[in-house]
Amino acid sequence: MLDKGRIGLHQLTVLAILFTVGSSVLIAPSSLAYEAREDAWIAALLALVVGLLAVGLYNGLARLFPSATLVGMARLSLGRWLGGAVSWLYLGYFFMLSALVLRNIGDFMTTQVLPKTPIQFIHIFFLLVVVAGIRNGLEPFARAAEIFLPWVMLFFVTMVVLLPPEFHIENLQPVLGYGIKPVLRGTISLFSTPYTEVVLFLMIIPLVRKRDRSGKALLTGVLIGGLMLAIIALLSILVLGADLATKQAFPSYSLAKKISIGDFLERLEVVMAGIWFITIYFKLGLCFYASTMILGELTGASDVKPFYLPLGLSLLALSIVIYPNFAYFVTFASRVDFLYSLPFALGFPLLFWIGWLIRGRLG
Amino acid sequence: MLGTLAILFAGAGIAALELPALLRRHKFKDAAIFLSLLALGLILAIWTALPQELPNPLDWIIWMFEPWGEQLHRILS
Amino acid sequence: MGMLTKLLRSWVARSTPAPSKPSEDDRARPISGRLGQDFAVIKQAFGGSVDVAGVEISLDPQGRQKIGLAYIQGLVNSAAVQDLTKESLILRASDFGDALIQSSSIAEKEALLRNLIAPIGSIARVGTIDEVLAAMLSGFAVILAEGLPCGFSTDTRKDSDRTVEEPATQSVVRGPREGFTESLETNVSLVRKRIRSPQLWLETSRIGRATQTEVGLMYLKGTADEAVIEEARRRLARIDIDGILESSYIEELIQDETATLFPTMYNTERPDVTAAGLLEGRIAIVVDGTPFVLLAPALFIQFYQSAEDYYQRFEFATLIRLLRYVCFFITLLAPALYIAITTFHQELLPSPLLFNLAAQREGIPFPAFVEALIMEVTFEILREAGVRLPKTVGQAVSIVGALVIGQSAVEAGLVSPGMVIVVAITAISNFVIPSFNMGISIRILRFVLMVIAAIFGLFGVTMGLVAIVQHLCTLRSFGVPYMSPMAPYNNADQKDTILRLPQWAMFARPRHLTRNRIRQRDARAAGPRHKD
Repeated sequence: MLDKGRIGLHQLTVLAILFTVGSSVLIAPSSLAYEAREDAWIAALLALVVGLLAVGLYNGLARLFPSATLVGMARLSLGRWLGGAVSWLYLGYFFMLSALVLRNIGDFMTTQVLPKTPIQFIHIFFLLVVVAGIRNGLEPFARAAEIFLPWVMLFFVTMVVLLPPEFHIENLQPVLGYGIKPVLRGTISLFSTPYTEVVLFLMIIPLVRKRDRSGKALLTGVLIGGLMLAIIALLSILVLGADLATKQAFPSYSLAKKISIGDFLERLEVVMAGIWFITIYFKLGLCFYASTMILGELTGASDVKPFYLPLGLSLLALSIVIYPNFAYFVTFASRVDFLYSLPFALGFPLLFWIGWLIRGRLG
Repeated sequence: MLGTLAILFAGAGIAALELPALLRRHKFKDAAIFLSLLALGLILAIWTALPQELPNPLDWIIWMFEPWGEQLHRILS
Repeated sequence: MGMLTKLLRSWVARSTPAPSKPSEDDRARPISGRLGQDFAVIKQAFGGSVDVAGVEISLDPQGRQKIGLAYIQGLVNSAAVQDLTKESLILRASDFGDALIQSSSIAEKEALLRNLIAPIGSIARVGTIDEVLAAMLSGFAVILAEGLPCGFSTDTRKDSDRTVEEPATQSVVRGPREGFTESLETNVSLVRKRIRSPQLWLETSRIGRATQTEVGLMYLKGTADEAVIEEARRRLARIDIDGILESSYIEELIQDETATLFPTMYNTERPDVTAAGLLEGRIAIVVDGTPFVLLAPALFIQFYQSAEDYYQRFEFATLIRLLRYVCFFITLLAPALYIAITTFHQELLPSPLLFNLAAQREGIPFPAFVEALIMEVTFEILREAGVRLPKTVGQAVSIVGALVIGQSAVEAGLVSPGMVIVVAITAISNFVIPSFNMGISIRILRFVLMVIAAIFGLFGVTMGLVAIVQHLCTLRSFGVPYMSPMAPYNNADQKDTILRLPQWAMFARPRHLTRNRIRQRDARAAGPRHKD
């Protein structure tokens, strides 16, 4: 195993929660509201269900190929050459994902929080912290996740608890007023991120100590994360209404702006932003980790630690060019992301399964 | 110009940080991979500083999948 | 970071000369048996230092049997030496003298001499000049005899020791007022007084080529983790340095990570804290010449716990602990948050406060960052000066410094009153942290966070915190993750981390330290039988 560290079940769950919430908490509600309007929360729950099914698929694969990472599975089921090719594709997929996540937070910062700072600086700073964090392997990274989770939960619950005064229940109506199709459109958009990206955990499961219970841990984590996303979607509609939620690029940020307790506790959105920094830090860390580990396994390196910095340079460059403006990103997210992620989330894993069956028959 | 210099400087810093340890432990394959990655990173990073546009992989992906995505969207409308 | 340490080490290695090999001659030179010659060799080894004493005593008037006594004045207890000469050599000489003179075999002479001085107790045989010198340097008196190629060292060590007093640095309101002293023997005895179990084992060794400092490794056999004990033993054995003057030398040489601001070994002046640590499964390193004992493995959370937490009521202790953690955040973040909020995120403050602050900062020529920097640096200067000043003047200066300088700075329009408050709260919160070396780490980090806050605002502070926490999670102390039991999360050990549950609820030892976990069997057995 390239990474000698091991993580515990609890840490796996925490990582799953933080990954699922990740960048989606920031960007997902907008597209959800655009497609599904008042039923955004229904779409979110539906996406969660499908996402859990996907996790079931991954857990099954993990049981078929004990102690093999994604690369191992590909090679074992499809042969060295084909498996290697598929692994390279996954490397590209995760690397692109890292660039997108980094760019998301960069955009958020330059539009909402620190408008005067050039985006490159934000990317560099954020990336440096991530590289410093992930260089020593997954184990310390998971420990940090354990420490930060209570804070993330605390702020999330605070927001949920402080918002009810701003609810407008009528915003939820009409329920399914436009039929099921808008809901399905919303489900697709939320499914493509983050649920298809959960395939990343195939690189992490081999590092868990009690392998037999890892399936349940992963399921729990994704479930909790998904519920948090659904709640954010629900809150966005309840407080902002479908129209406003659609128009905002970052509805959860606007949600936080609405919190007001007796003229004193106002403008807490900056604090909320801090929480999203943390979840994005972990998502980016995991994506970057996965890409680098795939690279390490494919090239037969003995230790990936030195690779993070040079890869970080490429990641930085990619994150700057990856989309010229936010509208472009919205096009990508709403039309392209689903079909593009589908092979990686379902296509190849099913292929691994079939490959395993075939090889079982032959050998 | 300044950006390019800064990037090169950073690249040198990265090499200085990681390379000696690798070489001392005789991990030459790792060092080779490291250097190629560093070269790639420097090229890409300097390219972004230049006026000429860097090819964007997302463009290709969108080109590949958009028609189908559009179809799917129409089905569900 | 590893790069930096390696650079440092190679520079250091290149600038220190190779240690000179001890000359082979006098090291293993045997005792010749001719007193005059032996004494000459001994005196020459010390370069004729005047505190080296060599006394010749004749056992009989004809001078046929001479006994020699060598010792270093100042290191020996003169009463003991006097006893030695009077009791054994003179009084009993009459009985043994003839036998010694007459006996011709060396073995017999040796046995007779040993019997002669036996009443003194703690005799050890020395066979070479080297051993004689080592014994003399430890305060032993060495007895040589004419015609005998060996000698005996007797324990005449001086008992020069500070009386056991209240520890200067870690005092409590309720609890024992005994603190360690500079003598290894006393310190070990203070611990043994508290743990009267034969399982408390002590291994000593001498570290430091010139200082030959006696260093003791103590642990509760069967409770402490064998791997940790072995690792500590190995690391101590690998130390190769010319002198150990304080336990901090050992701490720096054997600690897990040098490239970190945070301490990975705990030090204490208190025997009760040491005993508690030993009972939990830690190992203690006692160093002769300093009252500060090292405890390992050390965890982050330990540096925020104080002995007093266990001596006061548990509700109070829990609340005080919570206060300490709040103070940790205050002292680390307050100036950085002030800078970030006043520079980038003014909208976070409630309007009245915002107006006040804005009015205060109206005439200040500096940006918030420079203002904070000036105040913080001034405070650090005052604090350092306060440590060096003689006690009588020290108090006055710190009070004067804080009040007058702060006030004057405000009136001169250099800093805003809000800033003074922030700095004052920060400094006071720093003192709430029980462990001084953790406090130092935080002081340094505070400045780093201030710089980050000035450039990136709250975003920077958040990421800075993430980086710090991430760094803490990477550390290990003797194999145990530094942030245990928070991460990896351990349900059982939470009883004594942020809270302090009552004694009857804590029935197991910390899992990350030891396998032997049973601490008490029936927790409520000692309470009242039934409440009616």
